[in-house]
Amino acid sequence: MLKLIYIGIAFIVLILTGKDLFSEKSWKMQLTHLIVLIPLILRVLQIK
Amino acid sequence: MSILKSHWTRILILICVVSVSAYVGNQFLSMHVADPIYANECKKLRLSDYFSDLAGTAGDTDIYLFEGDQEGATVLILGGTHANEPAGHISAVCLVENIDIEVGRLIILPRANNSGFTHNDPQEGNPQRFKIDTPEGERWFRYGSRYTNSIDQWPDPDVYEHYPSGQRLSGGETRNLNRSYPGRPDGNMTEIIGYAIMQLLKVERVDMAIDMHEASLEYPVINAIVAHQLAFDIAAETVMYLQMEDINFNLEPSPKSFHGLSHREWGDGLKIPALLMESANPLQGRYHGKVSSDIIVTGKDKYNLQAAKSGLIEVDYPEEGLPLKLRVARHIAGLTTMFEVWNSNNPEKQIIVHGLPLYDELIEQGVGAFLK
Repeated sequence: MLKLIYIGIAFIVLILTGKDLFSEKSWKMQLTHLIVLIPLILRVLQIK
Repeated sequence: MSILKSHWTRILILICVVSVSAYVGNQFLSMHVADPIYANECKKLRLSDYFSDLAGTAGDTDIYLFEGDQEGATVLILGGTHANEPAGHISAVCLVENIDIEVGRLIILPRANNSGFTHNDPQEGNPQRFKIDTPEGERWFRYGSRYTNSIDQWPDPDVYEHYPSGQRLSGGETRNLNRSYPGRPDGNMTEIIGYAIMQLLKVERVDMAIDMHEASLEYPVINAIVAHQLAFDIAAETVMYLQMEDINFNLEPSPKSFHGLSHREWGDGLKIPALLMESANPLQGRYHGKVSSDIIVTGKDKYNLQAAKSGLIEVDYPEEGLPLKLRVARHIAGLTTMFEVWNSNNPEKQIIVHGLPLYDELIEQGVGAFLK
C-alpha cells in the first residue's frame, strides 16, 4: 500500500513538473526540469 | 504548428526525457534476463514449488536436484545468496554443469536470492555482467547486489526488526536474505524467500546444508568456514584436512545470539548441520578501485595491494591478486572435503559425487575450463 502511495505521489509530481516545464521561460530552467522528469518517469513506471 | 514553434525547446526537452528514460529503463530491465546455466542431467525445480506465493515473482529461482541411483544423504548447496559475491554463484554453476551423483541427493540453488541479480548496488559503479572465457567461447554472468531489488521490496524501514527474534539491524538489512531466516509466509519478499528455503530444507529432509559466500578483505570473518554447533565437528575436520593440502580456512563458530543467518537458523530451526564458506572478494569493501568485468575475474587491483602493504586488510593479497578461479577452487575444495568428512562419519547415509573439479585443476586451467 505504502508503495502505491509513493508511486501516486511521484505521478502527481510528474504532472506538476511537466506543467511547470511549459510555463518556464528560461531555457536553463527548462533544462533542469529534464533532470527531475527522468527519475519521476522511471519511478512511476516502476523501472528503477 | 504554432504550438511547436512557441514550445520547441520544451518539446525538445520532453523528447530528451523520453529517450533517456527509454535507454536507462531498457538497460535496467535487461538485468532481469538471467545468465544461462547448462545443467548436467538432473531434475529442474523452482523455489515456488516449495512455497507457491513466490511463483511469478523475481524471488522465484531455479533449483537443480541431482539424484543418485542409491539412497543416501541429501545435501543442499546455496550460491548467490548475495549476488555481488561471484565465487559463490560461479561455484554453484560449476557444480551444476559438471557433477554426477552415485549415492544420495544434491540440491543446488545457484541464485538463492534471484531478485538480487536483477540490480546493482547504488553508487558503486559496478558492471551489470562479467565475462569468463570457456573452451566453447565467452560466457557472461550477472553481477548483482547483496540485497533484494528495491523494486520488489520497498521502502526499507529505518530499523529492521528480525522475525521472530526481534533483533534490530539497520534498515537496509531487511533486504538481506542472509538476515531473513527463518522468514515468514506473509512477510516481505526477502522473508518469503527465506521461508521458502526453510520449506525446501524441511520437505526434502536435508541432512547437511552449505551456503557459499564471499567477504570484503577488511572483514575479519574471511577465508573461513562458519559452522552451527551441530556442524562444528564436520567443519573442524574439514579445515584440518584442507590445511594438510595447504588450503587454509579459519574455523568460526556461528554466533548463538546473531539471528537471521543461514548457519544459525537452519541449525536452530530444523536441526540441520549448517555451514557457510567465505572467500576473499577484492571487489567488496572500501579499498578497491574502479570495478570492471576483467577485475571481477582477475581479482587484481592496485588499491587493494596498497591497502595490503599498509596492513589494512585481513588476508594475504599477492601481486597477482585473488582471481575468481582461486576463490571458486577454495569453495569446491571445501565442499569436496565436507562430503568426504560426512561420509566417514555417516557410512550408512553417504553422499558420493563425481565430476567435482579438483583444486589444482581449477588453478591451472581456470574456471572457464569447467563451464560449458
